[in-house]
Amino acid sequence: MIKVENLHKKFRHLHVLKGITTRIVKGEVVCVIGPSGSGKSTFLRCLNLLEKPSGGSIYIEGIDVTDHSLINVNEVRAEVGMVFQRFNLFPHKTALENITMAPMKVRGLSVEEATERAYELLDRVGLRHKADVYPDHLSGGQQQRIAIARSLAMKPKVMLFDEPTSALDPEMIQEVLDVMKNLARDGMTMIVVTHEMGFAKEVAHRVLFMDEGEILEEGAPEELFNTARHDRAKQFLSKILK
Amino acid sequence: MLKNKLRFLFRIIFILVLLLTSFGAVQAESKTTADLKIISDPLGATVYVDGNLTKLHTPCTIKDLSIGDHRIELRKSKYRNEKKVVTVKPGQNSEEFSMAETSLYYMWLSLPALLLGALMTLFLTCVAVFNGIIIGTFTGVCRVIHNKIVNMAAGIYVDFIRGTPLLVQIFMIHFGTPPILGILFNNGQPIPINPFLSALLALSINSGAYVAEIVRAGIQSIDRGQMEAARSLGMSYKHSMRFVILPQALKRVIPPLGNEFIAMLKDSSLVSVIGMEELVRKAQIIVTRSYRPTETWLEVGLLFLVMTIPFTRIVSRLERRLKVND
Ligand SMILES: Nc1ncnc2c1ncn2[C@@H]1O[C@H](COP(=O)(O)OP(=O)(O)OP(=O)(O)O)[C@@H](O)[C@H]1O
Ligand SMILES: [Mg+2]
Repeated sequence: MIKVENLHKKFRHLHVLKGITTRIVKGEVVCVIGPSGSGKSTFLRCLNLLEKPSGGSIYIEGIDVTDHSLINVNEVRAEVGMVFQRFNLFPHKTALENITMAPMKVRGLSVEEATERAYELLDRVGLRHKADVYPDHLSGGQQQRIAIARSLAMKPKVMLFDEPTSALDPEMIQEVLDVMKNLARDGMTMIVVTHEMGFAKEVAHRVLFMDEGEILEEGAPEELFNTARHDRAKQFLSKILK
Repeated sequence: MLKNKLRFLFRIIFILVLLLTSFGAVQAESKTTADLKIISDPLGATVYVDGNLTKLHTPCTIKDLSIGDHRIELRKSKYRNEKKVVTVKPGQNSEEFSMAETSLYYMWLSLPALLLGALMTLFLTCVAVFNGIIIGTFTGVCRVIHNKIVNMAAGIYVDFIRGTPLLVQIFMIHFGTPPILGILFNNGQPIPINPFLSALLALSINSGAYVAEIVRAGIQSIDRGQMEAARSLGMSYKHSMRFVILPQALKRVIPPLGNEFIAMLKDSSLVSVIGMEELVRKAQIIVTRSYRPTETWLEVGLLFLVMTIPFTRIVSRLERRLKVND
């Protein structure tokens, strides 16, 4: 479903992604781990074209999205949901309005259709009673669940998560992970940058270990955690698995 | 006999003459008019007697006033005049007029004219800032969108206006453009612009640049994550700007816009130099007539304060409220 071939990204002189190649099949949950600055966020941001790749190609359902003559960037992004570390909810809109905005503006849904869909999603993340609340009156965990619902409202084919729980207080992490687990169980294709190894072990089909802009190790969670070949991966894992 | 009769006649004539002369003397003794000498400080006031303009200027003597009360009015200027009822008695009369008005009374008298000027100042400011908001929002957005040529054009406008004195901008429009207009539309004969139009044009263009900076700062103060979140949902740049960024920026822009309004209220006084009769120009005119600069300019200052203080209050209240919301 997603095919990444020799993806490169440079910020002026800084070579952040140095030839990423991987494939993600429909319904697969892939966790991306790696030290800070290794390019994990940049990789995700390239996938929904928030960053313009400097080289290589990304195929989503067979279409090369790096070929600007072929695609409309907005249409690609509508198919690729993204959840941010810092939620990025729209503070001037209620939870409900956060969810209905894009379907109405992009997909052309009527208010009724968008609202109906939004309530379904609010049920799914367990926040129907917070529909009319503004983001600053929600806890971090609640905000992140609304953000997930907001992305899902576009009915994306794949969901990208960039450290969705690392800005949260420990007691709120679980509620967000639970939502993500349910999503995975329902068959959503997901790419998750995370340091939650428990989540990775339980849900991920595959784990990618990134270092200095490359995928250094790749495999099923248990396999990768136990039999990492590279020293850097071992070092990183020994720190994080404690 | 005849001699006696003649003598008798002479005698009667003599007595008559005597009587007549003595009567005249008595009459001279009880004259019914008198003169009134008038001195005033300052000198040179025109004199009205019982409401009628005389050709006299102080110091002077009003001749042949009937005995009794008279309304005497001295007028030096609009703000220096005095009325008195003077009782004229037989003999020499003299009266001094001090004509010194209290400052407060003077200020009261000059208030209507100054208020008219203040109204013009308010009007100019409102229109200029309103136009400024329209120009500035457009230009501010032009400064942040991803188009180098548009960025540069907006940047040049903003830098030019912010880098030159408003006074120079007023002169450029009022005195600088008529020849150009003339070359374009009038066979080289300059087309003068009326001061009102020049003033509005100059102030609007000036305000537009400052508002543009406010709007740009407002947009850039919005977390980058907002734009990214909107874009990641598939919303176009235009939609993201309109529905996500601008509504948030607008809130932050309101207090600095209030400050811009206050600044414009004060700076608009510069259009007095092209003869626009706003508050300052009105005051200048009044001062040349009244010779009362101290009171006049104090009054002008107070009027500006009366106009700016409410807005300053509103702005600081808004600032506090928005801070709580953030
Ligand atoms: N817009 C940008 N301009 C310049 N350099 C950037 C930009 N975005 C990221 N970088 C650089 O690219 C490198 C990789 O950044 P990236 O955010 O992808 O790392 P990461 O693996 O997500 O790290 P972390 O775990 O800290 O989030 C970093 O050195 C960062 O400074
Ligand atoms: Mg990151």
